Amino acid sequence: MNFATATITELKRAMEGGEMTSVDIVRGYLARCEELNGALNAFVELYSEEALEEARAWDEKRANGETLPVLAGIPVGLKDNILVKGHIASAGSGILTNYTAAYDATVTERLKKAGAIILGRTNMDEAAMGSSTETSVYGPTKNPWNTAKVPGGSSGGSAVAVAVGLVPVALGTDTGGSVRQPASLCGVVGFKPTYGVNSRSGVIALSSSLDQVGVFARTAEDVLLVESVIAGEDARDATSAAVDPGVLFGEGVESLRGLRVGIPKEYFLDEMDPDVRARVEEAKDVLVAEGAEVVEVSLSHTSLALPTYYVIQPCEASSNLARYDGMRYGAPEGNETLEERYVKTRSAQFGREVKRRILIGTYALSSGYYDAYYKKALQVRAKIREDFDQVFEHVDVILGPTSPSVAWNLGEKFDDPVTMYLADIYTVSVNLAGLPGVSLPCGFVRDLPVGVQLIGRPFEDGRLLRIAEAYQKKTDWHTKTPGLET
Amino acid sequence: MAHEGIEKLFALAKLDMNEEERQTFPGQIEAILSYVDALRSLDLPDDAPELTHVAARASVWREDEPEELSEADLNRLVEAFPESVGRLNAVPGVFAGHRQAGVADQDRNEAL
Repeated sequence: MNFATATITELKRAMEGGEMTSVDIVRGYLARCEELNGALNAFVELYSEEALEEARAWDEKRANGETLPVLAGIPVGLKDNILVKGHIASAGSGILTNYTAAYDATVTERLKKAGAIILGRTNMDEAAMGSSTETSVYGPTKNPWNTAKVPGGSSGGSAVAVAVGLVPVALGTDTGGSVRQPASLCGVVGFKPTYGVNSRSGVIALSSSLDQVGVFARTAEDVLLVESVIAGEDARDATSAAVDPGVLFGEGVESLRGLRVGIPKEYFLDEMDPDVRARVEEAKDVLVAEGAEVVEVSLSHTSLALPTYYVIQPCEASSNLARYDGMRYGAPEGNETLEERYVKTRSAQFGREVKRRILIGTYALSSGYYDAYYKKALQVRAKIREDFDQVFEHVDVILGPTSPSVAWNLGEKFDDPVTMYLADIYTVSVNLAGLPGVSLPCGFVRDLPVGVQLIGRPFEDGRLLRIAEAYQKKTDWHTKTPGLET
Repeated sequence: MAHEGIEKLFALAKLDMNEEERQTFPGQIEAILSYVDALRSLDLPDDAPELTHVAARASVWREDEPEELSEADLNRLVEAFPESVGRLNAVPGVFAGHRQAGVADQDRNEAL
């Protein structure tokens, strides 16, 4: 078994065929972590003993001939903002480095119930704010294709873990592209469902109307399997959608013949990196060769998507991060008065980008500025959604680049917020409109991965992934791996 | 952004700047605000629809029933308190300008 490129499908087949046990598999991945994680910093913490114990338990059940749930014995990585009961969940922040989760996130619970083994927590930009995984309290994660480069963010750890085969699948969260963009920069599949499809209960909140748990894997097939387990309505998340995961992500084949693919002219401007453009157009050509029809479309409010996002997200974040007050958990500083504890703890333990966004959000929500910023942003958001609704009357799926560039150097954009924000240009609209989106590896530029993004209609998540599957049957980019092993 | 403006903003956000941030933040915040000011370029009527929630579900309720919490789970929550008095979360006094009145220091020390 080549763990570097193994899919869940292959691992399941090996276990079902008696060639490998879950213990073999967990040991195999732990050995890869031992060899590769130090230099990459994808995993912040590994739950090795626990994982092996769980693997043994599933092997025993299998040996006894019991019927096993669909992910039995498969190791999974979880981003550090997804709660696992009894383990630290820090969201990459100094304000939570001693916070032990008191309960499982719903997605964690569903994974465990399906037999998956949580191998450990993966690194992320602090509080999920970032596009490079450089702001974590645990230090940066490195891009395995070139360790002087960023892996993208904020779910960089999970993207890297799958890219080098430290786990076959990992979860992240995507608020403005934080699953799709690092997937693009690391050469793996990264999927964000329609808003509401994955429960947000037990996921440390950044921006409540934008956040969604997403999945990293080598294949769309694996994503479908994991989503069929974790998705669906949750009584603990009032924003979760009343969908049946078995139906939404169930069996089916999507033919590319006659598929109408929308190419937004705003996504292919002249200033675009010509090599990235070439890879993305090649991906489009693959679909066309299989009978898909290309339609030029216009998403006219695209240029306002980033400003809209960088008002709404900081506003919601400033509200969500108010709970970090040093009272109920954490290691607070300052003790004389309530005020002192709030200010000293938050100032000492939040990083710079987090503070910047809290300040922007506070400003945009404050009296006198609310209408000009927040209210306006919500109105423009409605227009952005309207653009997509209109386009989807004429096309089945929208195609474009996931990221305007390939991975850049560590430290290059670190303290230059606006430049960093431009990395999200193709991904934020999808969160603002609440649509499903997936990034698929579609080639390389200067030995660094490029991703093509497909965007689907709301609640056509399964269809979107099956279109992705059809693309992957005709390409082999998803089988490439950096080859860091000695 | 005027100096008093940013100080007020910090107070609202319950944050304080260190020396380095005092130098760099005002400029960076201005840059970000300039960037998002692009929203002004779109003229919309005051009553244009606002999209707050993409999935547009009506109020979703569940029964207000208490859930059983195991002793272990309860302990986990209590152990997380930075400061406690027995099973209670101890915090600086809300109204007092100083530490929680009414709990004798001796009792506190015994409980801790």
